[in-house]
Amino acid sequence: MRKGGINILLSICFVAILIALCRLMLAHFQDVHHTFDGLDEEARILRDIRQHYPKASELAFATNLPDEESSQAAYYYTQFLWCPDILSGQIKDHDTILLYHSFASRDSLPSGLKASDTLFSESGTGYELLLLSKTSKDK
Amino acid sequence: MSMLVPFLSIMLLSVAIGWWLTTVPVIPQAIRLPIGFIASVVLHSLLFDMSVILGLSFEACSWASAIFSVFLLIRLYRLFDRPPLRAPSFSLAHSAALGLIYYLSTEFIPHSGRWGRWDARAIWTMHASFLFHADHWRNLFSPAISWTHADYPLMLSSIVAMCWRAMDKETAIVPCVIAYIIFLMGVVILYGALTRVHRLAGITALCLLALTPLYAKIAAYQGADTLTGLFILVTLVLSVLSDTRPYGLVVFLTGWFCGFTGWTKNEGIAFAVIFSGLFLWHHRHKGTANAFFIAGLVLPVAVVSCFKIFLAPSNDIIEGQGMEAANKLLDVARHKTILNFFLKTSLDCYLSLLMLAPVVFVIRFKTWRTYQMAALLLLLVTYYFTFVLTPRNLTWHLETAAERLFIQLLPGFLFVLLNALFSRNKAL
Repeated sequence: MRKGGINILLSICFVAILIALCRLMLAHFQDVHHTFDGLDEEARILRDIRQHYPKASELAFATNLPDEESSQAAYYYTQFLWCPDILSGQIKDHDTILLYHSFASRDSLPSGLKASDTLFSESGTGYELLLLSKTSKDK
Repeated sequence: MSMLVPFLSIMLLSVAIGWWLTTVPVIPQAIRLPIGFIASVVLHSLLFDMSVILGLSFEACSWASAIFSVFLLIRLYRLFDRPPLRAPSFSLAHSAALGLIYYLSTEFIPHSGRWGRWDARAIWTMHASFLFHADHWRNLFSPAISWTHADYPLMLSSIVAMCWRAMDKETAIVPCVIAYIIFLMGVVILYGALTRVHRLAGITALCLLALTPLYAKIAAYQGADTLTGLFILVTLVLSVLSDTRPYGLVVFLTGWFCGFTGWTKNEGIAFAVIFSGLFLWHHRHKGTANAFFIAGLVLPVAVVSCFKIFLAPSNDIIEGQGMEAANKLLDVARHKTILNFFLKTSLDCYLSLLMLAPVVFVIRFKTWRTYQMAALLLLLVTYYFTFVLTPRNLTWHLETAAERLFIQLLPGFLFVLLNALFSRNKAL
């Protein structure tokens, strides 16, 4: 009888921890899903870039790759790499270089390029994704 | 409905393999289903890779796999005439273990975030993106993005891409959840395998993991290091079980998991080579055991070889070697830097393991002569010489890689040391 009572107590304890664990992880994954509460914004940025610059054929690979704290900016940066046009370089008559991952300062842009628009700016870190154009003398 | 089929198929095959493992009494009940689950996920990820390469429908492949799993379950039911799972028993040790798993999960969460660390996005989930956009998957091997290390094995990326394909969208939740499942599997298998030896052994292992917060932190980064660590752990657990009595199925699975360690990361290939050599040498007088082990190796070796020969570019560390390799080997300052860094990392992050090792050294000295321990130590030596010969900046390479490499070895070391410490087998 006493052993049975302990077993019931342990069972309750076991199930309680299990439920707490499941709730903890579910809450965390929901949180991950809604981080940067701009999921719509994320979709909009990606859609706009693809619609407006479908022929961009070259990525300006940053001379400095983003560091580990800038995962959201890094995500945008890498979102386009699978694109066949970009990788095969089939289209040459462009004047727009699609994405650049800036390291906080626009002064570090390669010569011959200017930032024509900011696509995404990560608060707190200062990382930005910039839309770049060639300056007129390089066209 | 189509979204559910791959996940349903994975679960059915997991249960079938877990049930099949009940035919081997040496495998503890607590790890049968986790091992079945890992094997099932790996097989489905390979199925996904095949569907991408051959341009087949993954949904059709998943239906085929689900039907096969149902037939397998019916066959097993007729063979054994009993249900695959028993009701779990609630002991104080299990409740304490669950409490510790809860604690480890709370350590995991603060470091777990959208898309993980830069390495995870730039390498593992990025490779998954290429596999997900199946029409252009070969672009992964373009020299234009050589910085993404296209020579890295594809297991983690395939699993992520497979889930994306099943859900039909590229979402940050998938790599995040997969990282947690890999973390959880490692913890559960470590606990389950050691509880077979002594109920305190499993709890001790979880306590030591809780005292090593770096384990949860690196697991949360969504890289492949904990996956490699998990495969090393499973290989060691199965090899120890097959030493007790070499059941064909256990030895086959030892070879299978050992081989697939090489499909997780390049370091896993080093482990697979070292462990296979030691296993075959240790069982050199047992022809049947070696035959089962080699049979287990066939599929993973074929997968890794095809990838490395036909698809992957050469590895930057190997390619970067030249005449200066000999100079690096003779450079005393280089050795000193690496040893200092190894020592500092061990003291800062792995103090619990460092305290356990001398205890086992004194009480069970013969543990240090087992081939499982030799495999781990030889892998550590391999890591050491990788740093000696690296063409990259040594300090940068140490700071970015050493911690993660040690994490691959942590569960394996904990298992081998605690198994010896708590084992009643005085021969250890």
